[in-house]
Order: sequence, then C-alpha cells, then structure tokens
Amino acid sequence: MSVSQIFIDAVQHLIAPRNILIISIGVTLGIVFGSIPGFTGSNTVAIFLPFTLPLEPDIAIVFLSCLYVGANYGGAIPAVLINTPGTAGATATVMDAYPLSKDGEPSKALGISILASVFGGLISAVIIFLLLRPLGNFALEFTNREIFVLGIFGLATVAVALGEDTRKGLVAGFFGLFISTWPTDPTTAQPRMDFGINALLSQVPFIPVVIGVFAICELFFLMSKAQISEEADINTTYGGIIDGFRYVISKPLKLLRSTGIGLVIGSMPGAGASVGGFVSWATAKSMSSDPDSFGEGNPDGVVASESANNAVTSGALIPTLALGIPGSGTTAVMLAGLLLHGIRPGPTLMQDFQFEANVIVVSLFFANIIMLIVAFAISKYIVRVVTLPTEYLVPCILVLTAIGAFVIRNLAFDIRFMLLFGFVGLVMKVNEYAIIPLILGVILGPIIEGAFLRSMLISGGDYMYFFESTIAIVLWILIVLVLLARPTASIVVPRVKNIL
Amino acid sequence: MTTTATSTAQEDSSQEENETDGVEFPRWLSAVVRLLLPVILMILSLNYINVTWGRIQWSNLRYPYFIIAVMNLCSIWIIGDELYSIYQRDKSRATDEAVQEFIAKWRTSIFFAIISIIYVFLVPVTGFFSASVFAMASIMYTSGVRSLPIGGIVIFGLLGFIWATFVQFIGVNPPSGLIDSVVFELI
Repeated sequence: MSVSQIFIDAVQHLIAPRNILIISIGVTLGIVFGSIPGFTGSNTVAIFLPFTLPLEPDIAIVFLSCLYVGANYGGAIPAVLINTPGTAGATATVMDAYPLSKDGEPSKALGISILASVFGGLISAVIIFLLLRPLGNFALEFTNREIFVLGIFGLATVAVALGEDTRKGLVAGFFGLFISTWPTDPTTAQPRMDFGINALLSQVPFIPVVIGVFAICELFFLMSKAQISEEADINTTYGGIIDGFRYVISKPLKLLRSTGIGLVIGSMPGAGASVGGFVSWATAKSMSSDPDSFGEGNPDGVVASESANNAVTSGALIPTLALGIPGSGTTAVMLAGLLLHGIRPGPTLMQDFQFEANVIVVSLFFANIIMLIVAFAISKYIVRVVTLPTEYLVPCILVLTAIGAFVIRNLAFDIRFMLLFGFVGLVMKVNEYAIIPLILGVILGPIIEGAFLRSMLISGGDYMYFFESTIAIVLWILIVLVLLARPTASIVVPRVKNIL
Repeated sequence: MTTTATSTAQEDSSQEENETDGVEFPRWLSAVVRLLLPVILMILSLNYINVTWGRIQWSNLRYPYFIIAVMNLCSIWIIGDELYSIYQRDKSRATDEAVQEFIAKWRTSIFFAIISIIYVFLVPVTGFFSASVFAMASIMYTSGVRSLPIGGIVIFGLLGFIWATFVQFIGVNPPSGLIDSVVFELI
C-alpha cells in the first residue's frame, strides 16, 4: 500500500463527526489541564486513561495523543500570562513570552505561541508519518532476543537521561521490572509474590500504578501550594493574537529550524519537551543578529521554544510507536494506554497494529488544526483556568482518579493500590528517583520477561545467544555507552575545562 | 495589567528536585527518609526469594533473580552513599523543631494523605459516592474552603458528572456499601 493510500485511509477513518468530536474534546481538555500550573501532560493523560475504556483502541489512543498535544501547548498559556510555565516544556517559553506580555503585548505573545506550536506540530507530524514505515520495516528484524536487549537498553537510556543519579534511575527501572514479576509465572502459572491478594495473582494493575505515581503524587505537592495567582487581570484581544500569527508566518525558516531541533530531541528516549525548548531557544539566540534581546521579550525566542516543544511531542512518538521505548514521560503513560486497549507496545507494534499506528500519527494533523481553533477561541477566558483554586481542584482529581483506578477491573483493591503507589511516587520524588523508569519497567516488564524466557527456550539455556546477532551486539554496546556516559563526562569535562 | 504569580510549576516540572528542601531533618530522620525506598526494596527482594526459591523451577527464576540482583546492587551502593553523606553532615537539629517545621510547611498535604487513606478504606464500606462526599468535603475544609454553596456545587457537580459518565454511560457499578445502597434505594 502506498504512503498516500495509507494517509487517505487514516483520514477517512478520522473524519467521522464522532471522531472529530473526540479529537476536539481531547485537545480542549489537554489545553485546559496543561494550562494549570503543576499539571503536566503525564498527569493529564494518566487521569483521563480510564475515560477511554468505552472507545475503540485506535480512537482511544488518538484521544490520548490529542490530550498530550493540547497539554503541551496549554503549558505556554500561564507562561505567557503569569510568568509560570504550566508544563516543563514551556519553561523556555517564559523567558521571552512573559517580558513580551509585560510590555503590553500579551495577545501577540499568545498568538505567537499558538501558531508556532501548531506549525511545529504539523511539520513534525508530516516527517513522522514518512519515517514510521521505514522504522517499522527495520523493527521486523527484532526477534525475542533483540526485544529483550532493547527493553534493557530502553530502561538504561531513560534511567540515565531522566535522573541526576544513574543508580537511582536504574533502581527505579528495575523496581518496575521487579513489580511486573510478582504475579504468576508466565509459563507454569505458579504463584510468585502475590501477598495472598487475589487481585495481584494474574497481573499487576498497571493503570492504578500509573495514576498513583503521576496524579496522586502530584496532588500532595499541589495541596501545600497556595493559589497560583491571587490577582490576574489580563486582557487579551483577538486582533492582537492575529498579529502574533502574522509574526510567526513571517519567520518560516526559524520555524523549520526549531521544529527540526524539537523533532530530533523528541525522538531521543528520555529527552523531554523542556530540553527541546531550551536547545532551540539557545540555538535561536546564538544565531540571532541581536542575541542580547533574547530573554527580554524577543518574539523569536517564543517561536523557537514553542515550535520546538510541540515538535518534541510528535518526535517522542517515534521511539514509542516504532520500538516501544517512550520518548517522554507522557508517552510512557501512553504506553500504558496502548496496553489497556490490547495494543502491545514494542518492535512488533508496526507489524501487528500498522493501521492504528498510522491513525495515531495522522490524528496529530487534526489535533494541531483543532488546537489552532480552540486555543484561539478560548485564549481570552483561559486565564480563569490558570488561576483555578487548588483547594477545589485537588479533591476533584482525587475522586476522579479513584473511580478511574476502579473502573478498569471493578475492584476496590485497585483504588488502594493507586494510593499506595501515590505514596511510592512521593517517596521517590522526595529522594530524587526518576518516576518514568518505574512506569516503563512495569509496562515493559511482562514483554521483556516473555522475550527472555522464549530466548532461553530457543537457545537451550545458553546466555551467549543474547550476543549472537548484530542488532543485539550493537544494543549491548549502546547500553554500556549509555551507562558510562555520565561517569565519563564527570571525569572528562572538568579536565577539559581545566585545560581550556 | 496586574499579575502576581509564584513560579510553582517550575518546581513541579522537575522530578529531580528535593521536595523537603527548606526543612532540614536531624540525622536519624534524614536516614529514615533517604533509606526508606532501598531498604523496602531489599526486604521485598528477600521475601520474593523466600516465596519462590525451591517452588519454581530454576530456569524460570533466572530472570526475576537477575532483576533482583541488579536492583539490590544499586540499592546497596545508594545506601552506602546516603549513609556517608548523612554522616558527613556536621550539625544535627533537634527532632521536635524539625518535625514542627515540617508539619507547618506540609500541613495540608499531611491532612490530604490522612484523608486519602481513610477514603480508600471507606469506599467499600460506605460506598463510593458517600465516601467521596466525605473525602472532598474534608479536603476542602482542611485547605481553607468555608463557602458551603461553592463547595456543595463542586462536590455534587463532580459526583453527578461521575454518575452520568461512569454509571450511566460506561455502565460501571462503583462499590455501593452501606450508605450508598440505602440512598439509592430511597431515590
């Protein structure tokens, strides 16, 4: 089937009024939740995971992708209006958007952030769509042996990239893998460590784990914070927003450059939107004829940051869909969404669920176009959401997450399990353990264990089997390099600095 | 244009920040907090070996034991480092003072944690909806909400939304318990 035919099929599937409505709801909810400081894309997707249960698998994932895209943009709104990034991805946006807003141009700053995000998302969606098929073909080379090594590589990469301390990242990732070994043995069905709880006998409920460590954990911190803004009287106009649009349209090359940076960084496992935004902003500054104006309200800074961080959103889907390794925290939660709907992540995804994968990528086009309309329409009123009091928000989220955890298996135990992992997330966060490797371990655990057991059966118990293919050897080398990267850098960088 | 804002989201965005910053614990309490996770993991690992060793064939234990080995090696390394850094600290605060400061700073979060624990155990006993009314009202009260009408609208608005979405649309039956079943019978 040709690329254009795949595209047309996916568009025909998505163009149904019901699907457009679902995409619109996803984008709108994403923008609203993303604009609440403290709520990240990961939290938002985790909270809404159970709401996708009645949807078909592909539309459910499309809904989650739209939430992700919307939340990623939503973070820019408080960055522009109240000097507070709604999500980590918008951290670089603050540096120029807020000074611009303070200079009396909040509408223009909003307009720039909206259109730069939309362009970043659209361009990167085109590139991903073209890349997904070749990547899927490459993934056909992966057998059980490679899947096992790839799983370890993914965990190692995410553990190193996301934590200050590699050991803590590895502990988090292997803790996740450990949790996934608690239910019955996959080949003999003998019970392992279920603590005598029937609910843990067949599987560890991963959705309550995801909701617990992302959403519940965040509520503890939200509770101790006062209202984000006590007074916010910001007037934005549609005319000003259109001025911002005009500015973005006049900078096509800068848009392309920032989108490219965001896409490359997004496709690296573990590198998030904040990294993409900052690298793009720093690149724009270094290449500008007036670098001193960056950080003082230069609109190019907003263009660079926003187009890159939205391109990261799409870029992060590349390793997620092609290899089953999440490119960001939110895509890690989306992996849980895939599993919830019976779509097994990993290198076989493009073989087994090619149509669904294409629909997800094509939905990014729709999501970005709808985001343009929704963000434009609600931007005048969104400041009220930004200043939503946490004392009303937190109890609502608690109850929503409780019903969300319950609804998957209709077990009250899952609500307790969710809260338990809320506390686990709290302990991890306080002690500076990255949470995403834990989630990745829980989600990929059964896949990695199954691949390991099948490999051992094939090889007759010979461990050397894991080193007998080119892909596996390359992955082992990459694992070693990834694990050594930080200690090596800590030794080499100071010496180089001394020499210089 | 007038805006006042605190840069809270920047704090939220980083997973790697220490959330107890600003409250310095005495050495023993620091040790408890920082060693909690690795020690629990080691205990869980020992329990896993205890319940699986000799009961499951060795070929099927290689994978979980490999996971346990890597996790515990890193945990022991972390414990060593944490103990060393705690030992290196030259001053130690009085426990009462540190705990009081911690409670003052995290009071609403502590209340939230306690209410959440009560809530999850209350759900199967009284029913999801009545337990939720209790939890939401308690959390709002402890965080300073005194407006009964707004609080009521938020609580019953959300529970109405959940009832419409989950019970009517998706067809889920949340735990009914003692109170919910009586209320639903009356309705």
